[in-house]
Amino acid sequence: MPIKNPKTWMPGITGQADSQWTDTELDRELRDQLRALYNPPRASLLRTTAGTAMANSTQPTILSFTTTEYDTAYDGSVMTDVTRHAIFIRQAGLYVVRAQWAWVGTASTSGVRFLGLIKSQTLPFAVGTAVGNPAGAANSGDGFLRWAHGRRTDGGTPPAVLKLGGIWPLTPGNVLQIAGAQNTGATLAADAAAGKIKFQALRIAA
Amino acid sequence: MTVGVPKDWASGDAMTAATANAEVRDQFNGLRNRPRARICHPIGGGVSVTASATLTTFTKITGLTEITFEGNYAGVDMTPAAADGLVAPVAGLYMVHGGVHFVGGTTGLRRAVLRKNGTATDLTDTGGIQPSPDVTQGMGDEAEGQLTGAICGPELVLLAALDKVELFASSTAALDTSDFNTAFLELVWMANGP
Repeated sequence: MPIKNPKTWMPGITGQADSQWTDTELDRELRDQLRALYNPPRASLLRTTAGTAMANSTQPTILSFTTTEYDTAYDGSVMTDVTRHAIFIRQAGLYVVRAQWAWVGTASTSGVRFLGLIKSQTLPFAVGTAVGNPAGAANSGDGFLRWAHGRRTDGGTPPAVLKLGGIWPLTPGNVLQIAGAQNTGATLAADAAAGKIKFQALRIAA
Repeated sequence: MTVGVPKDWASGDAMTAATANAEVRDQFNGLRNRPRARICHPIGGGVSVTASATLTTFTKITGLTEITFEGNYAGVDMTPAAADGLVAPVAGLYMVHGGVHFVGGTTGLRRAVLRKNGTATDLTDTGGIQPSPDVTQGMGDEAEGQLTGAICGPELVLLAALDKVELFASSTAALDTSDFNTAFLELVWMANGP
């Protein structure tokens, strides 16, 4: 069926179809459907303060955030919890998911910064859990959907920012988490402006 | 009627033509024609980025006069007259995306950021890479493949009505103006705010 432009209604539309619309039906079938389209499931976690120093390791561990920027959906479901280390999928659909993380500290000419997005089907891993090895090719074995692997070679002072993202079909029960690693003595960036360390998901289609 | 805020129906409310247009037609048109725009540099036009050895001095990219797409149901022009950014016509959660392309080089960094309302605070993180030939992974996301480009986003950011998003860049090289799309900025409304 081709979708046409929404109809412009003219005076005299009071004729009845097979049934009469009640206020309850209009709320449910029009208002609530529109609200669901305007307010899809969406969540954003930020880190607004410096984290503890990460141990030098190439082994990525589960990261956590400090602030919930938004966590809203019309159906009332909540996608995060107080520990802010996971996004819980409550409604099936196609989601945009993205994350970024920043480190500061020792300017270096070697070493790695690793960031990975993990999907699991059960409970989330606890903060700090080691979940894989970025040097290997078998990251998917730990449920990694995507990972970014960066190296500081400039010796300068800008924070090393790693970003990743994508679009995935997700189902209720899926749990998304971020894992990171560094092995050059860097610490997590303090980010009062909340622009560099975030973890976001947005449902964009059924 | 406000697009984005569907009506609560009460017993006895009449479904007149005006109500149907406001609460059915206009609401769906609002969703079908969401605020969106993409502007970019024309070939050979615009400004150059001042080379900065420290890479902490960012230059606002102007001259984004080519409009790839622009529109929204309210009919508000999202492109400022100065062609130096995009204005959110309504509040909400937006997808933002921007990038620049520089004259090639083998030293230094190329960086780009998006900022809001003329502040020096970055709306998005810095995206950029080091174009040294022996470096394939520097700052930036894994999708960046151009040795002379810097891309920030796409990201999800909350904007208020009339917030203006602008593209800034920093580099030890000048902006490449030899090709279409050497600098671009995109803004698309995705959902209501929290």
